[in-house]
Amino acid sequence: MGRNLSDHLDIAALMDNWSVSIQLDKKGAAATIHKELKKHINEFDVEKLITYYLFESRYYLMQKDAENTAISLDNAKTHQDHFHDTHRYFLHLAEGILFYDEGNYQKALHYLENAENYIDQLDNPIDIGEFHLRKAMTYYFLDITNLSVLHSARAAKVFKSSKRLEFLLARTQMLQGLNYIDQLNYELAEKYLLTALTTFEKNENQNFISSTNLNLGVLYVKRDLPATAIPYLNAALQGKQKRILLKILYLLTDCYWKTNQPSKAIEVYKEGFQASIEENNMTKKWEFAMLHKKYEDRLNFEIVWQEGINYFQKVEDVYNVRLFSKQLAQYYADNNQHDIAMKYYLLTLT
Amino acid sequence: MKKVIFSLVLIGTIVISSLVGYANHHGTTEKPTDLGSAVFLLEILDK
Repeated sequence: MGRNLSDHLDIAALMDNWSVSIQLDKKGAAATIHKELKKHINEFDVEKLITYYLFESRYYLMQKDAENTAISLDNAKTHQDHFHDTHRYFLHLAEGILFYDEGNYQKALHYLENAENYIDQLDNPIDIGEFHLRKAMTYYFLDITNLSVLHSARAAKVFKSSKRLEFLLARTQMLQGLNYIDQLNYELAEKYLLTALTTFEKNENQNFISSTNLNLGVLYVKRDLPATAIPYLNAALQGKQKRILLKILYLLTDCYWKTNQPSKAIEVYKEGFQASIEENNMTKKWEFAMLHKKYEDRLNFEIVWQEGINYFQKVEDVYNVRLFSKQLAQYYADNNQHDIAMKYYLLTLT
Repeated sequence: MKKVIFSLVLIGTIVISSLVGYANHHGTTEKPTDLGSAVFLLEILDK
């Protein structure tokens, strides 16, 4: 093959460095190593090739490149006969992350459950903690709160073991806070979210500071304290995180209307509605339109809300079907239109 | 009278639903909260 021992060591070392760069989200370093490793791909034995493709899938996941992630996983799977259990674990974990990232939580759970069959093969407790955190996050979005609570407790147990893991512990505590919101235990929800926020602020992690401020805003909106929510939502905006911008603007618009600040509400509503159009985010477009009809355009309230709920049913957005149906049912019940109220109360149970 | 029937039907529906359970595991669900990026994780180890 014309390779000597030092070549072997270089490839192994490069592979290790690549793995660390991916875990640390160092995109530049990971790209450089990827380019270098790709030159040697024909020299890899099967085991190294499988490891390469599995790392490569995580590398593309880091870049939000779903297409290449899937290609890397397919490439890895062509050598399935040579897989050992650790390979199987990381294959299924990557598949789970891929579907989670696309918002397909049911499929993500399926692959995480496959990965769990091989979790005994892991010798790094951080990997085990990461797995439980990912599974807890998936259950959270599937509204299976009890199992999310269970897996987040298992993740927290791992991450409490070392000061070095306090960022991961804070992520877990943020999730635990959100589970407490779903369980209507608002005092503990506040405590966990504020603890997570303190850690993120200490580490100057702006993205997670924004996420936690948004979540605190959600908590106070649910407690019917819109005036308390507003400063947290404005703080969340400071992070300029495009990924959660529409969620923040939507809640802020609602809070301004609820606290009788219509001019501020309209200003934020226009920004949010425009941004939802630019992002072609149909869900948020409907949410903003429905909010506007609720407070400003009562003449079109019923028809737009009915159409909006139809849309959410069509895209299987269960959370929004329940949320908006409950309010519309209450509206019809208050107006003694009991048949149609019944229709929407039933939808809250879907 | 209509209101009484409505209330009875509604209570009946809620009771039956709570007995059989109605956890729905659909493909998409949009919550207003955020858990941060899905692709993490271990940046803290760098500090």
